[in-house]
Amino acid sequence: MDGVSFEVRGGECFGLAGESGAGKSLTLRAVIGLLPPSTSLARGTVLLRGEPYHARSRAQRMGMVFQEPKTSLNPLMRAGEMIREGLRVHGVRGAHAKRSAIALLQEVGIEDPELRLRSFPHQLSGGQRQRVAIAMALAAEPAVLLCDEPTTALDVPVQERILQLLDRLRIERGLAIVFVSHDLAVIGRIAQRIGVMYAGRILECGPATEVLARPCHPYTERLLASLPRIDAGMPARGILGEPPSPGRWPSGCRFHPRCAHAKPDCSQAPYVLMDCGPDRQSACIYWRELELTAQRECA
Amino acid sequence: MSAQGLQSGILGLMSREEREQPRQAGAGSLKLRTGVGIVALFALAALLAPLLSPYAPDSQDLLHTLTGPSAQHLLGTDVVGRDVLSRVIYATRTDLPVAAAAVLIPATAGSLIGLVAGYFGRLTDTALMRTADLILAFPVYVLVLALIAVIGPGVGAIILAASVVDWVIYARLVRSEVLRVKSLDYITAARASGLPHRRILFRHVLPNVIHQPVIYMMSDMVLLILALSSLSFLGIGVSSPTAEWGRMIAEAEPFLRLHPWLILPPGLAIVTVGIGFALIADALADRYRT
Repeated sequence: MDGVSFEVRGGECFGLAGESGAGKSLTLRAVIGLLPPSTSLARGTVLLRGEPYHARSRAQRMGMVFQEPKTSLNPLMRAGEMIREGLRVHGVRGAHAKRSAIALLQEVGIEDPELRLRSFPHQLSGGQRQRVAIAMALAAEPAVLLCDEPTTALDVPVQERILQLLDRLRIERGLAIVFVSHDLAVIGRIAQRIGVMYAGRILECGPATEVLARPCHPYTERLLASLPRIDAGMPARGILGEPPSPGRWPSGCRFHPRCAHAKPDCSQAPYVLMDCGPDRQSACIYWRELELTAQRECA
Repeated sequence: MSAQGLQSGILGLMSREEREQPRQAGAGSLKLRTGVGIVALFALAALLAPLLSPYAPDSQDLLHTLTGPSAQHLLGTDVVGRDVLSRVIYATRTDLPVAAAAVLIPATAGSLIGLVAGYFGRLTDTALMRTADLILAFPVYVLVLALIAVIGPGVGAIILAASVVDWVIYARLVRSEVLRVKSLDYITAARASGLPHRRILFRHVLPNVIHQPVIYMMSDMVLLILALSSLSFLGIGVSSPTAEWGRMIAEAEPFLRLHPWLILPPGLAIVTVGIGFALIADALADRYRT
């Protein structure tokens, strides 16, 4: 992963898209300061409201919601206890903490919150667990909520309700959300701005509607074309080849070995994000020449 | 202490989730009940020894030595006329508490060390676990004998020697579990939300790994009762006239050919209590495998 840089504004949702292994989750962990020990030295700065952020600083917090509802909650703790832990960090205790926990569960749309305070994770459904996980993250009153594919393990109708919830929280609380997903449909649904990651780099970023409608990077185009469609009546087209593995990156543009538009000097292209529209950047040196479409192959 | 009470006591050590689940009927439950029942019987014998024993454990009757089972002495008398039944009962007061202490001390220390080593990793882990490897590199009994040679024989020496050696197993057991649990999302979430390490360790990590040392403690009880008896048999554990099963076997050994029944009561006591603890360990392990 290198040169990953992005900005999220208050009350905005930034979507990070890309294939598995592109470094999306790693980016989130780096942001919150909890890289797994096997990763080699990382450098970088995270600024929260203009000030450097440390994982253990008390003043400004970030919350995190994970992909797998099975492991994101401690199996031996009741929902209420877990939420109260977050509140403790914030200095809320006792009867006041109980009221706050109930209010939080209500806010994330859990029915019968007083009963659910006493539930263990195995007594909750997947969607409910994600709601509890969101309530836990909110308990510390974070300015930023990091979501690592929080809807991937859920059924589509439940997914939609969780997305609605996140949307509501973003608007009501002015929460900044970083939303990681490999699912462009989900990203397009929730994010205002998106970044497309490939092989540890952001290849393109900009307002969600524009990036998805008029991609400025061949990788984004291919990613869009590989979305399965019910209406098109033809199979989705994947991307040829395998994503490269970390440490064995191709030279130049890391996507060039798999890119349909690759030209000889792509293998020497420096990694620079170039402005390619209002509030938009692309790392493709040929973005101007390429006629990229947000591709419906049959249209 | 009733069997039910002891059972709920042991389950109290287990996770809350475990208690919430409906108790499984069938083989697992039967195993647990039998094991707890046996151990409870021995615990009861230790508590009520003065009431249960027909004679004082060390009162000699030199006119009636090596009598063999009779109405007066249900299990006969030994070489100096002491009642064998009374001695077997009183021996529970030596064997069980000593073994329990020699298990609890290293289990607690080892679990904490494993917890810290696994959670913090890096230099802490290396320092603690290489120390553990160092101890593991010695043959256990050689180390125990050497320690006893330095401190002198006795119950305290055995507990100390066992603690020095035994914590290693708990540390390795807990550490490997911590490494598994540490990578789960709820630990990352707890760290991300800024909880202090101490709280994460004791509220999130420990309750999710504690079943491992608890299961092993049960097997360890068997090993330590055997170790205590073996050392006493060799004459470097508990000394006469204190009633102790290994010591009793050692004292019966010269008469093995003429009075073989002398060796049976203490031997059977060791085997039975061992089976009791082994059954508990097995039943608890079964619960966690499913």
